[in-house]
Amino acid sequence: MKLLVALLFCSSLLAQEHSGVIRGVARDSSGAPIDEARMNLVGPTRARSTTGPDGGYEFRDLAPGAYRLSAYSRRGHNQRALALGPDQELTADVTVALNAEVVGRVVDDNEEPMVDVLVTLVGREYRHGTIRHTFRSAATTDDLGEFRLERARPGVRYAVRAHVKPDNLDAVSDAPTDPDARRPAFRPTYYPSSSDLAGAERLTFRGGEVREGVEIRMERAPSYCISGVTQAAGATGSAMFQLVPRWPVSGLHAAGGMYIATPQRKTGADGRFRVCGLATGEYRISVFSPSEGNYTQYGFVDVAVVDRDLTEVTAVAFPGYELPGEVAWVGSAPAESIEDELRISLAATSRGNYGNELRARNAKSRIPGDFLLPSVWLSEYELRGLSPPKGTYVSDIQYGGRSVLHSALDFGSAPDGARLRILLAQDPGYATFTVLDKDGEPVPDGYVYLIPDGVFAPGDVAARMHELRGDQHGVYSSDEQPPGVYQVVAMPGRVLPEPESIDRLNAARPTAPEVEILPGETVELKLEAR
Amino acid sequence: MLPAPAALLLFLAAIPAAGQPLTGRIVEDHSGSALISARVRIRSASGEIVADRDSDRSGRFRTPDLPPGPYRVEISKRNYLGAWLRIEHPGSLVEPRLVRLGVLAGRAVDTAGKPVANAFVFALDAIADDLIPQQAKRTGPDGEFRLHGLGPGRYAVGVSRADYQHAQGASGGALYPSNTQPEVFEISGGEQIEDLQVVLPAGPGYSISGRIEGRSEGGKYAVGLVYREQPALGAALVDAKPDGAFALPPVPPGAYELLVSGPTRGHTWRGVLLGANQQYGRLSVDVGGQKISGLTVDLEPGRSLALSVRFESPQARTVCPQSPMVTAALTDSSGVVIREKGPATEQTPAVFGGLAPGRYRLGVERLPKGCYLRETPLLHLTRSGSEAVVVLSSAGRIAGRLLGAADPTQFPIALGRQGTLEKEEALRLSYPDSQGRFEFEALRPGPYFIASRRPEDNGRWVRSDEAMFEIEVSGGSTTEIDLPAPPVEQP
Repeated sequence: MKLLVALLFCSSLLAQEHSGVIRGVARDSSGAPIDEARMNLVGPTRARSTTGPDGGYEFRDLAPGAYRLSAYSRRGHNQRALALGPDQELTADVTVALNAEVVGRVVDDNEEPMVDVLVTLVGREYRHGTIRHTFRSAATTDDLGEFRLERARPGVRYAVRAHVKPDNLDAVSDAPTDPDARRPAFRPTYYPSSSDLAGAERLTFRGGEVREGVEIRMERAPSYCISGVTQAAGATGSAMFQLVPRWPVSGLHAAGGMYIATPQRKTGADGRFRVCGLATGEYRISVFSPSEGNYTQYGFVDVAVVDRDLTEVTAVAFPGYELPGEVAWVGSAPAESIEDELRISLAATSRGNYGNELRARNAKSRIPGDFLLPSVWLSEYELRGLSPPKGTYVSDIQYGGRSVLHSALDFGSAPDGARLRILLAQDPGYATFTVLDKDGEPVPDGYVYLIPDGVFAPGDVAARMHELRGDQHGVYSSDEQPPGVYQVVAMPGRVLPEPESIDRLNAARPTAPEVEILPGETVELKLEAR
Repeated sequence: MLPAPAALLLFLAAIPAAGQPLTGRIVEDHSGSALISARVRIRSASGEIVADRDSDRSGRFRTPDLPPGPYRVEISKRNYLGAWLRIEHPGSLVEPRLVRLGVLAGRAVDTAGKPVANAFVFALDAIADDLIPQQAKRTGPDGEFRLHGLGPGRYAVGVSRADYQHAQGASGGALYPSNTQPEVFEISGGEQIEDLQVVLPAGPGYSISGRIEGRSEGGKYAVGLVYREQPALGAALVDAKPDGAFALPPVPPGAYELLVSGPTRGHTWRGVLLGANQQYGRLSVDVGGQKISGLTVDLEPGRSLALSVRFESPQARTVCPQSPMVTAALTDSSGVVIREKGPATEQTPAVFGGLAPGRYRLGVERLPKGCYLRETPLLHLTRSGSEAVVVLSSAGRIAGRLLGAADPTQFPIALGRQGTLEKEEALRLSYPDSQGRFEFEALRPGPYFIASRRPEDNGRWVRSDEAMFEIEVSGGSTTEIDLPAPPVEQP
């Protein structure tokens, strides 16, 4: 009977008609309306639209509640948090923060334009407490050697990198054994002409800027080969492999993710490979097995080419292993049992996903309860999108007895049988802030950051800061927070885990207030806008 | 009549002493300019690379000392057709000519003259009466585009905003100069066809709306609109609402085909990806001077296709895989992306179900060296239970004689593939022996042009179609040809 009542209630909700409206204009930072901006509304009602020539958009028939409105155009995007009352007609203009573009050319040491060269923007970010370099945007040079890179975020420092895509990655190269008989290799080059990141000129852009004249001159360097054999457990013969420079990495990054596709090749029937045309540098050789069908085994080996060929390199693929785990309460369990399940999903931090591995890295667990990720490759992961039930929060995540709440999960680094423990707590506190300007007026659409007391190292700040987004009334409300003392910093723009961004946040901290969030209580505070 | 050919030229100079380096100068075929940073690889008779060099700023290259013997010279440079030739060393390469790939460049604007930025611009292969999208790029902020790397072949140019980036709002597509009479450009080598202005419609337009019937419970559906006469060109693409209602953005008057696809599981920029139990609905829509509403699109299951493989010769059976991975890819821009693959044999076809109606390009994945797809067939799939075959061939060979030359060794014979080439697919050059005999081996089956020329000629290798011969090379067999030496010009 209880189920029937619930179903009837749900269906009455579905049948209920709403008349809320959100409309407005999307503009760029100069105030000009943006034609054909994609508008995405997420909340109790989901909808998409595209602006007209006057930048206008409109969503109708909306249920009341909290919404996130996003505007995307080719040159940039922005989001707003909105609170919509019952049957309210809300006007919400969105100013799109324009990205910059980089226009330039790649030439070789003969000043000859280089065609089909991969040019990337490389950004720095803190990830799990340390700095790493990731791809942010990519373009390919045309027949004149010219390129146009988009999506350079204003205020961020980027390096620009040119890399010659191999004509053909032969699994077993026939390059001469004598290095002197080989054609020199084009080494990856950072603007203007550096073979390593340390020598790269970092570029910073203004919003909407088109930076022209970025010319990269690629130099040649001695060409080396890496040869060896792949092995796979229980399998003989060929495997698939790929070879990529160790840095920068594809994968998730602070502002999303970017993957540079790397060709895979099949080794010889004996599992042997020989890749040539490589300049000095660090590389990762990944191996996948079987060579046909969905991969079930994966492995990698990191190597460094210094001043000679590397031979007899062995790259071994391992099967996926079970990763058992549990979801448990810290302290007392709730009096009432929780029906919700916790979805657990591992995401590789610096590579793409292959075959069916995504499916094998997902599980659901009762709370409390045990779970099993049936087949996880030996690699580095992070837990993504953990969504604990309302009124609870993730207190810690442990693997092999070590906390990985703010660090990467290096699967295979713990002893055999190590479990993944996800600890939930049910004593959260809450915080609500109102940000006011110097005239005492609410400041909408900004950001407030909660930083645990005593956390100062930039990498730790990046990993542990918690972001609150303001609505149109200048109200910033947290979700469940672990009790403790936090520093509260109001920022006009978003802080991403990039060094420049974290530096701006840290610079604002000396005058920022502290709050103590207590279990079960909501702390309220008025903040002065910066 | 032959298409204008891509060409390569080489002269032999005085024979140097044994143990000498191999030297030469590489030039661009159509301009005669020095080609800088072209790669020159020299292979011995056993296939070993004995030298690997780049040409310098004057287009010259020089190998280390090489012992006498036969060599193969491979010359390559990005954005040029590669070339390779057999030589007998000692000898001196003087001036190989590389053929630059073609460019189609211009600007996309709407009928009001406003630049159309961020739209997809295509080079479309003109194959018989069909236009098949081949290369796609986005237009720049001023609507500008530059499609490069086009091998010899015939191409049209089209711009479309019916991609997923623009879905739910923008619409329109256009071929240059018009959808009804697209211009097909002949690329033979080195052409840079610029200042093409592709004009997209910018109102007045008329919306098309309706409802999808027979949907799967909870399934999401996409609605794509293509021009009836040019299904390669998308006109609009939207998601249907959860209740099956759809509303396409305004399109100009014209004849269209509407395709509903679903249930969807995601999308790429070209269209949606489908989950299991695919359903399609197709409707012809003629837009006159008013909006169209109240359309009902009924869904039906996808079509099936049985795709098997055939070997052109016994030799093909030995060099080609017995159970290759055959593919079928939808080429129409109707808002759904379909690329099926599966193993097939002569007896057991790969059976692909759930296919949308439309044109499919058939192919084979990962063929080993020496095994070729005989041609790239295009299938118009209209009904379920269709059958098709892809033909695999082994390499072919040409054996010929140069007739009428006092010293045949001085007359280079050039061979190039006709039609759209794989990017940087090589042209080849061979020198007859003293009896005039020459040969080309390891050839992909298909049509070729072949010609000889006088060694003292400095201009582009082929000056007129009359100098060319068109021949067909079959897999696993030898094509023989008697080729006349070019006439001696009277002073």
